[in-house]
Amino acid sequence: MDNLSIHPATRDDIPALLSLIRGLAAYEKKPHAVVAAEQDLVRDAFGPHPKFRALIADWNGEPAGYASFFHFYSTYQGRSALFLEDLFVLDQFRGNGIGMALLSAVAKLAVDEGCFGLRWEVLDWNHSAIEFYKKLGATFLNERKVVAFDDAAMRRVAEQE
Amino acid sequence: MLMIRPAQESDARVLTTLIHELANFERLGHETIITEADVLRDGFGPRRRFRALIAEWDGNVAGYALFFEFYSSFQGRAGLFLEDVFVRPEYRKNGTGTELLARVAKIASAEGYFCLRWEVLDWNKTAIDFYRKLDAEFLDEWKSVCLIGDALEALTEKAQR
Repeated sequence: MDNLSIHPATRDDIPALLSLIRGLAAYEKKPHAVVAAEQDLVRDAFGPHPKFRALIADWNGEPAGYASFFHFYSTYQGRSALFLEDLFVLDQFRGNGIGMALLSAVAKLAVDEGCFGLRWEVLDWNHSAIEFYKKLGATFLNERKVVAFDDAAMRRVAEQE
Repeated sequence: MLMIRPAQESDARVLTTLIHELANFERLGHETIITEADVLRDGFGPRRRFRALIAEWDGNVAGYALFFEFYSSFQGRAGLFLEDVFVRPEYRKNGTGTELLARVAKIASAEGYFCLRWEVLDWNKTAIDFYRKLDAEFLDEWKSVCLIGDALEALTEKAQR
């Protein structure tokens, strides 16, 4: 696939990365959910305490998609998985195997770094993604419910101490 | 009297035991392979993958909480992921779980994390009711997925060289 190149994101990619993140949010029907600014991404990807990494997929030199991920510990395994926070390909570039290329690149990093696996979350209405993951032999942890405290709930709970 | 304190290197053995106790409670004991050496390396070594709190009643270990950072590209900030919270059966109903959760929430809030996130097994009604009372949000549209073992290896074969 000569048209496709995948590379680790650098500082120069941050404007494109933020634009792709906004593209993902729009696809997830949450166009206003992105509050991240370029400076947040620069700090958290390239600062003294990196919190995530990203791969950018270029198609004929144009940013077409990305994957972002970080280490995520499992006390059952006694080692980390790579947690795939985002995997996204812009609509006009789909059907070229870019998503598969990104996902396999992240899987390879996971294995190379001694991680026990990949973990991620998928929206329950995203049937095409679910089918794609099923074909790859992914395990759906259906008995697990995802729970969160937002900032306000966190503060209220903190006061119960 | 209840005391909650950060886990230290000398807690690695009891922390390993507690992790296995939780795994048995979650009916996942057979899948749990973490060793004391893993806990020492990943909790107390040069590249820490998690932090933990130990709860003690009158000097006896009663439970623990274990957590680490995750990243949100939409937020442009990190959250805390609560991997485990567990109270030994003989110490339940003394508010130990609430205290552990409150302490983790306090850490998350004080250190500027945007949220506290975790997972609960769908059959654990007691835990689900407990979290509901604390105003936790259930993100039911998200499904957890993982890719491990042969499926992971097969996917790495698709990565570009």
